[in-house]
Parts: sequence; structure tokens; C-alpha cells
Amino acid sequence: MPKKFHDLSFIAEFLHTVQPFNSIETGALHKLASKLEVAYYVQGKTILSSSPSAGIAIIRKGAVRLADESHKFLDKRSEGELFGHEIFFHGEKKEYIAEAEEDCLLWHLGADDFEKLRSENNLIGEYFSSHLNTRLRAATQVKHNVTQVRDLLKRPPVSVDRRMSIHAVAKKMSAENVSSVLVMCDKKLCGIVTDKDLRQRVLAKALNPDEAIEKVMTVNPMSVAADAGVDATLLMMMRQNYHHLPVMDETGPLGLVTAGDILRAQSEHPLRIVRDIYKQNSIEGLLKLHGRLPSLFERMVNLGRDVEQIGRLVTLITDAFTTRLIQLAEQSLGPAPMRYAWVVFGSQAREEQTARTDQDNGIVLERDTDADEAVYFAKLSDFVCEGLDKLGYVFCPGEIMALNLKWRVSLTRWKQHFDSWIDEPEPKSVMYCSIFFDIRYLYGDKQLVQDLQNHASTRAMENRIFRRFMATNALLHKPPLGFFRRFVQEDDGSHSEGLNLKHRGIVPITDLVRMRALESGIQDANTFRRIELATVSGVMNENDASSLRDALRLINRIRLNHQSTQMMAGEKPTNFVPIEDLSPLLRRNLKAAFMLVAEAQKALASRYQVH
Amino acid sequence: MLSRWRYRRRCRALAQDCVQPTVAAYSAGCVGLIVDKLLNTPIISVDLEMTGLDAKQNHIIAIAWTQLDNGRIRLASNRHLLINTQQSVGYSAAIHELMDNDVARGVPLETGLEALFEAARGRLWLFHHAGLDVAFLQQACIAWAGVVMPFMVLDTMKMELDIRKRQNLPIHQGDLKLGKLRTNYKLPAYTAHNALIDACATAELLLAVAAKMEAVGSLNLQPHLTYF
Amino acid sequence: MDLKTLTFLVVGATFALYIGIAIWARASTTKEFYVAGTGVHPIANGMATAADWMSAASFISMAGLIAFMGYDASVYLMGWTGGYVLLALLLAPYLRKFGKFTVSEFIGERYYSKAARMVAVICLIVASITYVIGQMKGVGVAFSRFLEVDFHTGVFVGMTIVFIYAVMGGMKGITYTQIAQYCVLIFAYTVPAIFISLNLTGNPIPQLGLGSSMADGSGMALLDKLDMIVTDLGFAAYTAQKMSTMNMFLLTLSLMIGTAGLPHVIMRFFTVPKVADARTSAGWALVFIAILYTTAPAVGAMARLNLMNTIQSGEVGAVEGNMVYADRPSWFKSWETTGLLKFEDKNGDGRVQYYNDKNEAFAAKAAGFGWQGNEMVKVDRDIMVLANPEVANLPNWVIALVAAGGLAAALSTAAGLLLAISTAISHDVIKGMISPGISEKKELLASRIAMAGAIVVAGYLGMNPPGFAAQVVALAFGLAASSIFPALMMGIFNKNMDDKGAIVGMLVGLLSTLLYIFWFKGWFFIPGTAMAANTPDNWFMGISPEAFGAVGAMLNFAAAYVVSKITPPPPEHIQHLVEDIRVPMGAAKAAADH
Repeated sequence: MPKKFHDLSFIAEFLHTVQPFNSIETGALHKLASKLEVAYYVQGKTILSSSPSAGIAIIRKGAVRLADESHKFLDKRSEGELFGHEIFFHGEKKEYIAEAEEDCLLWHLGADDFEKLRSENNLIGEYFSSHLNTRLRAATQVKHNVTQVRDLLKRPPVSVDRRMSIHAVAKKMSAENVSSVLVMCDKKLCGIVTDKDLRQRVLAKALNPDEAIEKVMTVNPMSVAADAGVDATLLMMMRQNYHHLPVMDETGPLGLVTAGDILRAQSEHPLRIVRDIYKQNSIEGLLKLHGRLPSLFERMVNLGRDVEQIGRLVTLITDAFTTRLIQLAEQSLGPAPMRYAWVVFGSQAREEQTARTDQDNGIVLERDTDADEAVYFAKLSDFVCEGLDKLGYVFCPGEIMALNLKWRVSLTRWKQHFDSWIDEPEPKSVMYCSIFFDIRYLYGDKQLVQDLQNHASTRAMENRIFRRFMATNALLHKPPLGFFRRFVQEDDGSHSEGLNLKHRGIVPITDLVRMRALESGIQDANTFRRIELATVSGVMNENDASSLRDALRLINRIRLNHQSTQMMAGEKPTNFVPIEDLSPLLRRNLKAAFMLVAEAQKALASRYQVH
Repeated sequence: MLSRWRYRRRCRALAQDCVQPTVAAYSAGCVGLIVDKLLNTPIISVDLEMTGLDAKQNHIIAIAWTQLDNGRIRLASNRHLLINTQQSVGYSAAIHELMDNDVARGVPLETGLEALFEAARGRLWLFHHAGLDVAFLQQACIAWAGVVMPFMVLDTMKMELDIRKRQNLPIHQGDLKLGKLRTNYKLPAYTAHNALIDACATAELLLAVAAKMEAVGSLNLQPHLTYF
Repeated sequence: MDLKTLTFLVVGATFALYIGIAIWARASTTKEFYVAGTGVHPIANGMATAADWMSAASFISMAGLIAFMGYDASVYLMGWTGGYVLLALLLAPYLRKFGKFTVSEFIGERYYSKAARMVAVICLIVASITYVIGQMKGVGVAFSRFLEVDFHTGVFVGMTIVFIYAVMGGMKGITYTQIAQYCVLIFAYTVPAIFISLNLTGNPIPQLGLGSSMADGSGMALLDKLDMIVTDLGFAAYTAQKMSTMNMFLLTLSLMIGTAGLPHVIMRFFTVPKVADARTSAGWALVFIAILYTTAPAVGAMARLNLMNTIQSGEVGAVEGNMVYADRPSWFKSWETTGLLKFEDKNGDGRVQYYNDKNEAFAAKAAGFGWQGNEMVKVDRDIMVLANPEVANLPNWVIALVAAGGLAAALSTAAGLLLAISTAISHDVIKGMISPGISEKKELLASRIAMAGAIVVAGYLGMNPPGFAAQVVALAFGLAASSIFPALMMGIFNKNMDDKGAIVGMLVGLLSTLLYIFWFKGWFFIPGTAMAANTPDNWFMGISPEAFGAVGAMLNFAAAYVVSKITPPPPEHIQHLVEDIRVPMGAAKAAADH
């Protein structure tokens, strides 16, 4: 049986950079690579005379012009992009022809194989079955997996010549305080020596330390390209049981990465800080932990964690701080005189917090309090809210906090609050509703919150007049598109501040989705889960759902990247992103996302006759 | 070098007389092979790694190929075989980065050749700088089957040379190297001296060269053939 | 400056005002999140409601109707005012308590039946489109006059503008735009009325002027003078009651309860967050509506007087008593170009004779004067309000203002109704019943198509009004009155009313009314298929088909009551709901506090 030797890795390597194949695992990627056929087209040649073709084509090199039957330009595709499948141009499915705009090297995937791929791999299937949003989705995933081993390198490699003595090498390793060195043969990497090698191959065998290091080195060690993904690298190291891996680029070795480095990079897992939070016994202790938050956030953004996850993790930390503060308060005040529940509202309830945030919370009590009980809960909420403020979760400007007597009342009174807002939706009530309908139980007696949620969501679902007021409110924040769909930047009078991605991107989507939740009695507060549930219950069409989801992901992603850049530059993170900071592709995608939001708003306006 | 006529005669003779089934089948395939344009011609693009440049003294340590049908490279046909040879890779390792221990994991040369000629049946050979590789293959075939194997070959280096000569373009040292040519044709840069990548790279180069030729009106590959 | 330019300027200026307000309002709402707006004052909201309520029918047609029908036209005044009161007092508060902002939604929910909802939706769509016909007619009249084109062209222009206006959202929901529209509208209506009243009677208040004596020195009361002039020409006396009292009562009732379910006005009551404010603004709206409604009789009467005086400038029977056609005033000429005013010189004397040639006694007498029939072969009633200032020789800017007012009235109502219709079709019918999984994009498209369709239908009927439109009006109001209204009332006030009772009741009301209308007007309005001549002698108890809706409603009540008695009562939760709905909101809260 002839032995195969990394047959297709050079194909797979490129495929790995192509949307949507970068989501495929290596084995499947090789399988896919083996299905491809390479073809070459000179400039001007027609590649495809009708679409969709029997399969797809990946542009390995060059550029392709997509045009309609009358040769009118539709789109340009370049290296690493696809065509041949059904493509939606500006949201409209069109037949197209493809011509080589430059000399092109293409990889074709035949119809049968393409079909098989779609049916076997959900992610791929989903990618090709969606339309306007395909490009969006692709763009939101750009950051995925791009954490490269290059980013983990802390110092240039320590290298020695192969003729150097073992003794000298050991000395150098101690001096540089490293556990491994690269061995060079004429400026080329030819070996690696680790602490373990010195132990096993030198000391254990009582080898003369004056021997050349090449005697004990691991010859031609496996290396990893600098742009390889961190996860893939870790996987490789674990499979091969390597602990040290030279990182190479075209110029030679860049450094060494150890399994420890990678694990450490991932060990800043928020769950760890959560565990630490619960160990603290004083505000001071919590304060110390809080200092770790900015770097943690930055790390999460850079590691390319997906947007939903970041929101969830940041909220998890806020939840932990809050819960711990309540526990500490209970410890010093004694047990509560009645059943009560701590609830959170707004972004914390939605699990969509980001770097900068204030607190929105309240207490649901079992019944009205007498004087003593009132004092107990006043102290409790004072301790928790003050504590949160010190931890950087500043007081809510709208005073929606347990600290406020109004939001520290019995279940019955809470229900009355909701009733009065729903019956008489004055602007202030509507504003409250957009915060209080995003409600989540955090601590205490869950049943109290459940009762309240049942009551509120049933009332909202039954009352379309109330929902109309909410709809009017949801339409206040419009996407920043002006006439002729041009971007509208905010300015404070003196200079342009950029696109307000929060108020004109994320808030409108959150509001739209909240409307769907109110319509179908969904009690979950998280926007993505609300979309999911609304789709399941049939109030939301699948396409509309995935459009909104993708738009939200994209806008969030751009905002988070922007904030992380600002933080790295030592600036305060803001929600304003100047258009100039966005690549043309990103601008196009962002515009598409905003158009989806505008469309959904129009539909909402029509549904409730708000104009 | 043989003329086309002598090549055909040898193919027919081998197809009838040779007892080695692979060789007989291969030769029969050569008889039936008609070469016209790229689109209609089945091709096998081959690259070898050797321990040196002398076919008499050095050995083949890797054979890799890929097949072209209907003007497209079928990546599914890619093969890369390491050949277990007794000779050390020596300094050549600096070029192909194959070490003795890699080579030791390879298959015997006979197995490799059998697979190669199986794959090459009914196909036109494609090399970049054919002379060297064909010399090694013929040498190996003599040892393996005791015959001088006939080869009908397309050589991208020679094709480019012809084109440049016809256009009176100057040719400098290194201009016709695979990597350099690929850059000229704006093909992606690959790591050189991996036999399989080179075989694929050569195949891609052929696609580009043929497309350029087609653009100026000459479609037939026939004039560019060489017979060994 | 000539009239045409001036009109363009004034109309343009009012539109710029509306758009400006819309932009200003939109810009000022995107303020800091926690600084919530303070809401609209009830008086302001009352004005906005009045603007919604007063359509082209109120602004343009009502005075025209009064001018030609005299006393009998008061049923429209009473019916529509009554409809408003009914809506404000009897319907809106309960619907609000129920949390539904369309009647069809209420019926569907209350009678837990999709079929009931479907019936309600269809009735409302038909009634709404009928209403739009009036708007299209009004817009067409206004545009044809001021662009000086044929009436049909005017309607086409109007259709286009209404469509664009409605697709843009009609700038509704922005209360301040509505207020501006109300101001323009009421100003445009009352200013010419004041001028004319001053001219004719010396009294600046038209409502009082109508009851005063003429300022021409004759000392005659204005209405007496008008009666005299019209009877001299063979017309029935202006102030005479021509319908039977019973018929007038039932027609008023039909109009009243038929109007009550109109979606675009109900909506207004639900844009005020506080129930108490909604009540107050409903009261204010009534005041603002009354300003126009009470002016209308004066405008109608004075317009008729002016028109008759212009044509019959002297003694009836004397040759020089009639206007010479060649010397006709410019307004006469411009209305002729629209085709809404037509003169035909039957006796060839070059003078205009306008009299009632259907009155045989007078026709014989007229023949003695050498008159050979009424020469004003067409005088469209709807031109009266717009032509009024010109006939009265008022300054050009007043005339231009009236045009702006007419357009404001027509556009705001048409846009509101069209939006309601399109939503009813796209959301209630298509999304709610036909294709629940439809995407938002398609839903929007459906609503646009529905809107365009409604405009085309309404435009067509606006251009071909004789007979047919009147029948559709009768049908629409009859249907709404006989089917929806009883179901609504029983839904609110009778907790034992169940789905079967309601549906049977609706069908009985609907079918009896349909039958009665078809009996006298022909099956499906096909001419010649009528079972009996449409004359008061043949009518059942002297009730005209238009007025039968009220009788249908009574049949509906009776049938529903009987059926609900013999079928099982509605489910428990519905009964609770109905009990709950009649408890005022504040009371429920107060009870919970104790």
C-alpha cells in the first residue's frame, strides 16, 4: 500500500482562509480539498454563462466579475471568495454570468460534491441557504479563529549553534530563563532542545556535557506557521504530545510557543474570575478583582470570541459581583425578614453587557414591609448598590435601582406598576417598560419574579394598544442612514463623532425584538434567545429572524472591535465609530445591516399603524 | 530523443510483447492517445525528488503526480509517494527537506513505479524541465522492467522557451524556473521542492501557458510535444 | 399675481409647513433616553382628532349637499356628529380597556371566532373604501379646479399624490402636523364664510348670519329670501322637509352607527396615553368639529343664494333677468374646464336659464318665457365650497386658502384610512389568516399593493359617482350599521352573548339589509333587476334603502339575543373579560389598593 504524504495540506491551508470553509475541521477540509478541480481562465473569458451553476468555484487567484445577462456589473469577487451558487445582489436573487476580470486560477467543486457538503455540514448548508445576509454573516466571522500563535509570542527565540556544547547550552538556557532552545544549522532550524531532553538524554545517560548539542537535540522538530490558529496549534500539540513548538514565518523561526502559553492565554476564562469573586469576603477584595476586568474584556474581544458569548460572560461577571454583594450584605445584616428576590433589568437582564455599563436592578418583596423590615431592605440595597457603584457599575441615571424606594416593593405593587404603565402608557411609562420588560431573576425567591413576569407578559400580550405605544417608542431610534442610504454621522457641533452604533444600531434591534417578545409572551430577556423563541412560536418569519440576528452580530462585532482598539490605545471606549475607520467591505456590510433594521422598522410601523 | 514515428512503433511493440502487465497496459495506452487541445487531452503532471542530479548514480526518493482531465486539475488524483532507497539523502535534503528517516518510511521503488505507470496509462506526461525527470524514470524502468520506456511529454519549461524564442524575448539565467514563471503568470506562490506541490504547480502553470496560447489562437499541444 | 400662482404658493406653503413640523418633531424626539417627552396637551390632541375626523366629505361635500338638499341634508350633519359622539363615548373607552385598536380585532377576540373577525374585517374594509371615495372625489375637484384641467385628470393627479403621501406614512402620528392641518382647514373654511356672511347680512358670524335678515335693504330674513328665490324657479323650498320624519330618523341613526367603527378615528383615541386625557381631548375635538359643522349650513345656504343670484340676476321671466353667457364670470369659465359645470343653450338666446324643469307646473310656465329646459345641465354639488369665495368675489388669497384647506382635509383622512385598510389587509387578512409565516418584507409589499388597489378602486368610483357610488355608500353604511355595530354593543354589554349568537345576528342584519337594498336598487345593482320601483310609496313603512341599516341592526339584535338564549353561554374567561371591561380602569386600581 503506497503511503500518502501530506497530500493536500497546501490546498487545505488556503481553504482554511475561505468563508465558509474556515468553520470546517481539518479532516473534513482535506476531504473537501480532494474533491476540487483546478482551472485557469485568462482575462475576459466567460467562466459561467448562467447561474446558479452546477457547483461552486473558489477563487484561488485573480478576480471575477459577476454580471447579469446584459453584462451589467453586479459584483466583483476576488481571491478567497466564492461564486457559482445562488447569490443575492442587494437582497435580490439574480441570475448572473461570471467573467474573469483578471487571469484567474479557480477551484471548482462539482454539483454532487457541493450538495453533499451542504447536506453534511450544517454551518455550510446554512451559509449557502441564506441570502442577503450571507456576506454579513461572513463578515461577522472574520475575527473567528484568527488568534494566531504569532500573538502569543513574548520574546524572540533563544537559539544556539548545533556545535555548541551541551554545557554551554544549559548555561545559556539558565541565563535566559527558558525551558527550551532552538538549534540552528547554518541559520536554518534543525533541532530543538528542552529541559526534558537535558534530563533524559544527558543526565540520565551520564553523557559528557562537552559533547555538541546536536547529539541530544530532537532533529527537525515539527514547527507551526506564525499565522496558524491558536486552537489548531494546541490541538496539534496535544495530539503529538509536544510541549514546545517553534513558530516560523518566511524569514525563519520567530519564537517558541509552549502549551503553557496557549493554556494561559485561555485561562483568563471569565469563569475563573467568577470563582474568585465568590471567594472574596469584602468589597476591597472584590475591588481588586474588578481591576482585571478591562484586560479580560480586551482579551475576549481579541481572542475573537463570538459576540453573544462576550455579552454573556461580561454579564456573568456582573451577576457574580451582585450576588456576592447581596450575600455579604445578608451575612452582616442577618437573614431577611421575608421572602424576596433581587431582579436585574435592561442590558444585565438581556445578558448583553459590554465594557461600560451602569446598574439597573430592583427588589421584589413577598408583601408590604413594616418599619423594621423596611430598614432591613434599605440597608441591604444600600450596601449592594453602593458596592456596585464602587466596582464601576455606576448609579443608573434613571435611578432604576433597588436603592430607590419605588423599585423595592411588594409583588402586588410591582404588578400595579406594570398595570399602570400598560393602561396609561405615557412617555415615561413606555420608557420604563423598555427597561423593565427586560427582566431577569438574579437572587432570592425565584417564584416571586416568575409571578411578576407571568403577569406582565400576559398583560402585554393581550393589549395591542399598549404595544402600539411601545412600537412608537421602538421607532424613535433609526439606523444612521440618510437620503440615498448614505451614512449619517453624529456630531457634537464641533466635529463628527462617527456612527452611533449603540443608539442607532443595537438599540433599534433590541427594541424590535422586544416587540416580538411582547407580542408572543416571551419572558426570556436575551435578544438572541428572544429571536429564537419568536421564530419557534411563529410570530417571526425565519428569514426575518436570521436577518436581524446577523445584523446584530455584525454591528456588535464592529462596536466591540472598535472599543477594544480604543482601550488598547488607552482611550475610554465609546459607541461612536468613524466611518473612515471601516474598510470598504465592512462599510458595505454595515450598510446592509442597517438596511435590514430599517426594513424591520417599516414593517413594525405598518403592523401598528405608527407613522 | 526519438521521432514520433519511432515512439509509436516502440509503444506498439511493448504493448504486444512485454510480459510486465503494467508496462504493457501503459504502452497500449500510449498507442491510443491522441493529443490535440488541452481540453481533450488527459495529462499526468509528475515531479520527482532525487538524491542528486545524476540519473546513473543518484536515486529517486519521492514521486508525486496529479492528473488533468478536460483542462482541469483533479486534486482527487494527487499522489505523493516516498521511495525507500538504500542511498542516503545526503546534502540533497537541504533542497527537498526529506530526511533519511522520512525516506525510510517510503515504499520500494518498484511499487512506486507501478503506481505511477498505472496512473499514467493513456495520459500525456507533463514535467517542468522534463529531461532530468525522464532520465531518472527511464533509468528506474530499466532496473524494474528491463525495458526502455517510451514517453510522450509536454514540458512547461520548453513551452515557455518556444514562446519566448518565437517572440524574440531575451532569456536570462533562472527565468525559466518554475517559481519564477509562476510569478510571471501571476499564479500563487507555493513552497518549492515538495514533489506534490511542484507537480500541481507545474500543472497550474500549464493551464496558464495554454490559456495564454489559446488567447493568441494556437490551441493544439501537438507542436510542443517531445518524445523520449 | 394671478390666482393660479397664488394657489400654488399657498398650497406649497402649507405643505412645507407640515413637512417642516414633521422633521422638527422627528428631530426633537431623538433626545437622551432618560428624558422622556411630556406628552401632548388634550386641547392640542383634540385639534388633531378633529383634523382626522374632518375629511373632504365634511369640508367639501357637506356644504354642497346642504346647498342643494336644504333641510334634508341635516341628517348628514346629525348622523356624522352623532357617529363621533357614539365613537368617543360608547366605543373607544371599552375597546381601549380591551386593549384592541381595531373593531375587527375586538370582535375576533370577544367572540373567539376567526369567522366573526373575517366578517368584521371585510365590512370595515368596504366601509373605509367608501369613505375614501369621498376623499378622492374631493381631491379630484380641488386639483381639477386649480390646475384648470378636466376633473378626471384632477382625480388622477390626486390619486398619485394621495398614494405618495400615504406611502410616506401620511405624516400621521405626529400630532403637531395634525394640529397645523386643523388650523389651515378651519381657517380656510371659516374666513370665506365670515366674509360672505358680512356681505349678505352684515353679521360677521356665519352661524348667526344664517338667521339674520339680508343687508340689501329688503329686511327679509336670509332663509326666507332663499326660499323665495328657489321656489320662484320651480325648486322645492330650501327649508322644507321632503323626507318622512321616520325615514330621516332612521337615516340619521344608520349614518351614526355606520360611522362608529371607522378605524382611523378610533385610532386617535388610543394615541393618548392617559384615559382621562383621552376623554378630555374627545370633548375638545367635539368643540373643534362643531366649529366647522355649524358653519356648514350657513356656507351651504349662502353659496346657493349667491349662485342663484348670479345666474338669475333679475326678474324671473324678464329677458334681461338672466345672465348673458358671453358675460359669464371667470369662475364660471374655469369650472367649465373641469367638466363639473356644464351649460347648454337650449333656446339659443345666449342667456343662462337655471330652473327646475322636472316641476311640470313650473316647466309649463317657463315655456311661456321662451325657456326650453334647464340650461345648467350639470352643477356638481362638490364644487360649492371651493367656488363659494369666487362667486362671492372674495380676494384671491382667500380662494387659494380654501384650496389648501380642502387638500389638507382630503389628504389627512385619505392617508389615515388607506393606512388602516392596507394594514387590515396585510396584517389581519394575509398574515392573520392566509399565510401566517409570511416575511415582513412580503407583508409590507402586500400592504403597499392593498393601498394602491384601494386607491384605484376609490379613484374609479370617485370619477364615476352617479348612482353607483351612492349605492355603495348605502351598502357600506348599511352593512356596518346592521352587522358590526350590534355585535360590538352586545360584546361589551352582554356577557352571555356567544359566538353563535353574534354570527347569526351579524348574518341576519347583513342579509336583511342587503336584501332590502337589492330589492329596490337591483340585484347587485344591476340595472333593471329591481323588484320594485325605488319610490317612497313602495318602501316598507316609508323607509328608504339607505336608512334600512338601522332596521337591520335591530333585526341583528333580536336574532342574536334569541340564538344566544338557546345556545350554551360563552366560556368563563370571556364572561369575566366582559365584566371586567365595563369597570373603569381607575376603579380596578382603587379596588386593588384596598
